Amino acid sequence: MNRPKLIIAAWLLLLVPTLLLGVGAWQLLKSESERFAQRELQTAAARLATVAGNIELAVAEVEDGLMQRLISFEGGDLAQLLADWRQENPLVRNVFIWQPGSGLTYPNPEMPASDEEQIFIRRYLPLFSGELDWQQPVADRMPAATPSAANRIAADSILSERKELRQLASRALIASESSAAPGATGVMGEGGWRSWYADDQLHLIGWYQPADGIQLYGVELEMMALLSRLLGSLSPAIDGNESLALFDGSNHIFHQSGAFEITAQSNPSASRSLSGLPHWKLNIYTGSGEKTPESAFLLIGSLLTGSFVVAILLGGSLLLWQAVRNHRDARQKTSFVSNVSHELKTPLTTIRMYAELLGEGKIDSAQKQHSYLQTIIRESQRLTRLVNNILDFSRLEQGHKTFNYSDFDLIELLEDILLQQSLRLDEAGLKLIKQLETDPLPIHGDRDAIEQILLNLIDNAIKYAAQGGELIVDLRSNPDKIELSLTDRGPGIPSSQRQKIFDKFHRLDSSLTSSQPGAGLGLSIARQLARGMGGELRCTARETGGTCFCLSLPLDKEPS
Amino acid sequence: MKSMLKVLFPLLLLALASPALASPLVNLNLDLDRTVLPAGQSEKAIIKVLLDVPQIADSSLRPPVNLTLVLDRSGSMSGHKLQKAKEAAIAALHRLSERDLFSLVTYNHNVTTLVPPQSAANSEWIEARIRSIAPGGNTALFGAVSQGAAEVRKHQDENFIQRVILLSDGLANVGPSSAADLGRLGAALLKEGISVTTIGIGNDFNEDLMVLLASRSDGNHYFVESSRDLPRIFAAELGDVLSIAASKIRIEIECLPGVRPLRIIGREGIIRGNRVQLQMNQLYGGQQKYALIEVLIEPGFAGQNREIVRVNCRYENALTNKMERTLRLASVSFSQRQEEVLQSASRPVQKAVVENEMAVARDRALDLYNAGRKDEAVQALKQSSIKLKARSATLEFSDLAEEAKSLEEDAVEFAAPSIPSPRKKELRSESYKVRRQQKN
Repeated sequence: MNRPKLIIAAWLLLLVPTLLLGVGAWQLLKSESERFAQRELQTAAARLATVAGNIELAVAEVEDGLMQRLISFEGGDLAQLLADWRQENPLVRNVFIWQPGSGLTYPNPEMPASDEEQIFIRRYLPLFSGELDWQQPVADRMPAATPSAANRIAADSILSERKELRQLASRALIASESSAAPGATGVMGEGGWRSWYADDQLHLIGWYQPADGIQLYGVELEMMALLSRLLGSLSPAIDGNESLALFDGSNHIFHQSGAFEITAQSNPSASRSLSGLPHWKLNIYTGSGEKTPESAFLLIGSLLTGSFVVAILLGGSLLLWQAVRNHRDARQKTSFVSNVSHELKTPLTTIRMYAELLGEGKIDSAQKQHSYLQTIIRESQRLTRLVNNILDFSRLEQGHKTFNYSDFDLIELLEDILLQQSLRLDEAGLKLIKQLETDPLPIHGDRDAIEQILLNLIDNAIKYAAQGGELIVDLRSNPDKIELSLTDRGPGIPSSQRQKIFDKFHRLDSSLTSSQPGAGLGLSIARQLARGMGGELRCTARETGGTCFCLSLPLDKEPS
Repeated sequence: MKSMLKVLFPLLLLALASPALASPLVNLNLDLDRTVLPAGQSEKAIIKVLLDVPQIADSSLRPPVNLTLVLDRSGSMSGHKLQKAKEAAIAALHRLSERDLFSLVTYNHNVTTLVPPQSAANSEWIEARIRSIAPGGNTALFGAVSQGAAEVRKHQDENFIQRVILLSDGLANVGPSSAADLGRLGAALLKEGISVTTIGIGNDFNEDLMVLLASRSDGNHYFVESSRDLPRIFAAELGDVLSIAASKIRIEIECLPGVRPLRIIGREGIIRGNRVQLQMNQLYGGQQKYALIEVLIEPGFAGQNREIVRVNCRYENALTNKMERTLRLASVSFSQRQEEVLQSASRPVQKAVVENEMAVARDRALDLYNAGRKDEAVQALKQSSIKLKARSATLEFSDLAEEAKSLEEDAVEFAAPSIPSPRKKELRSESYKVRRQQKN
């Protein structure tokens, strides 16, 4: 009664920790993989910051360099210097001289030297006409829509640090300052850079106004040349699974590089705006989904954990099942021994009792003596059958059973057996109905085995189907096999039990079987013998109530 | 002491002028459409500034070349086009010598430097790399040209002839894609002495972009309708590149008092005040390049001979890497007699003017047409034709007047419902060749 609970408890003890272990391991794997992904994201963001910083620095350097040059022109023949500069420097797109009040003096707005100059003048008309101030409006210098204000501040501080360093490096000796260029002696003028959106494109214009304030002159940066040079810093990590894309102010991809193609719909891992190029941004994209090493790591890890869990559960369950089976076998053997002892004891007791009665010589009546002797013979035959069964069983169990094949007439054998058993059948009240052919039916088989099968079947009928009152023995032969069936009118066998009755030590659990002695071996031995000869023993239900055991044997004349 | 100075001064002048005197590599010649102008009225004149470079006799003297091939490997190039392009690239590689540098950039949406700059002698490895190119993807033309220029730039200080050859068959669809933007890139590259030759294959590329990029960087432009022609085009381009004799050419035309510059015909340049500035990146041996400048000359009296312009040409001799300079003056005389004026008309100059005017007219018509102003395009062509015919007729060049008539045929073509894409590309590339005196 306690046993199933114990088994369930043991199994649960195995199951719960194993599952907990599996879930724990999986959670750990998942968090580890998330940490990987997180770290990759951080690396990507760091790389993005580096690249963006490079671009910002480059833009700042270019702006500073051009501004230095502008300042150095102070006091010279401005128009000529600027024109030469424009012709030689790829980064210079246009140059101009402007006077507060009178407007543009170079290039001549009335007579532009080329289409380019004409467009240039038109592009910056609001500036050149004095409509707008040269200073960049504060709002534009620090666009409000920056995703990461902290990054920007950091970048700005790097830029200003660089600038300070450069200024430090180019600073002249204080003592000789008076003898330096005339620009250095005077008060520094005012200058700056201005971003300008026109024709859906970003333009950068730098201007410088010397301290005297008469003229203001400047340069328009050739963005295409600058950007063309910047693209080199956009190279992605060599082995990385990531791509970089530079977006222009109207959110179109300006340039991309990396392991895979980016479209405008792609989802960036990190994004950063560029301080030198207002409204431009730099995006980084990391590997798309299943191909990443982290998910492979998770997959393999999960598979390993899963197989561990399954292996532990399977192994544990197998051990438990084995234990349960061993336990059942042990119980069956115990009951078998007690059954067999009981079985053996009953005929022995009878034989001994009658033998003692005859031995005392008190029985005078010859008829009685004969009857007693008959009983002794019958009981000893029963004992023989029992011992034969047990011997067969042990041989079959060990696989040592050998069949003695010979040619004989099956009909003759059947008649013999039924004749021998007719007395027992009569005593049990069973009427034997034979449906046999009269012609001899020669077969090749083990005579003793067939006899044993039939005896076991008849024993069962006598034991359990006696109240049915009849036993039909029917033999049909085909060219290749014979079918022998024994049909009774007993209580029948439930369909769920029809297979189990052939298991060794199995006995139907009913009032009928409990009143009859038995070891649960007969049918098991009968089927094993039938199969050993290449035949089969089946149990079917008879439609009108009762059971039919059907033995089929192959009918090959030649010994196999 | 004073007499000593008197002797030394001319000598000093001579010494200063000697680079110009010691037979310069580039011959600078000035021609006028008419050397005799009618007296007593303002007259327009056209000056042909001709640069003539002799063939380099010894090819071993030629300057080494730093060549970058920028090859489109987008999906549209797959098949025959890419196959032929590879073959042509390999053939081009074999024409370079071990002193030359070769690099290869391939691009789709990504730009990759497949062969970093190295001596063309390493041809086996380079060939294997070229053969490994596989097609697929989009077209990042701007990035590709940028990278090509970056590869060239790595050896900028070493006196190489620098050249990028861009080959594409499609529209730039990653990054800047307007002709103007690429033109600006080309102009910036020209300042660094890098020319971009553009080769457009098939019928899908943007001819305006390819032409403008070549034009602003002073490279060649080729339209290749069938990939079969690629090897021939590459050979022609290599022929040009390997015969470069002068680089960084700056021409300044100074108009003397009484003369005002009006326009430059065909080429692009700057007219500031009385100065006209023109720039070319490279001159090829055995080829002539010219510029046509129209000026307005104030009235002169009969028998007067007047200097009108002073042309100053500076360039770097690619064989010696030294700057050289030549100076020429052009003058006209005035006459009352009409026959004298007509007699002085120069046929080659007028021929060049007609050809260039026609090319400019076609380009302009194409621009108008592409902008959707078809009627104006047709009108412009007709007007140009009439003007050119009239002008040739007054100079009594009837055959040139006939030639100018072909613009009317073009006008008919432009009036048709649509112009086929290959025809547009052909028109553009023909115009370009005329305006730039491109040989092939």
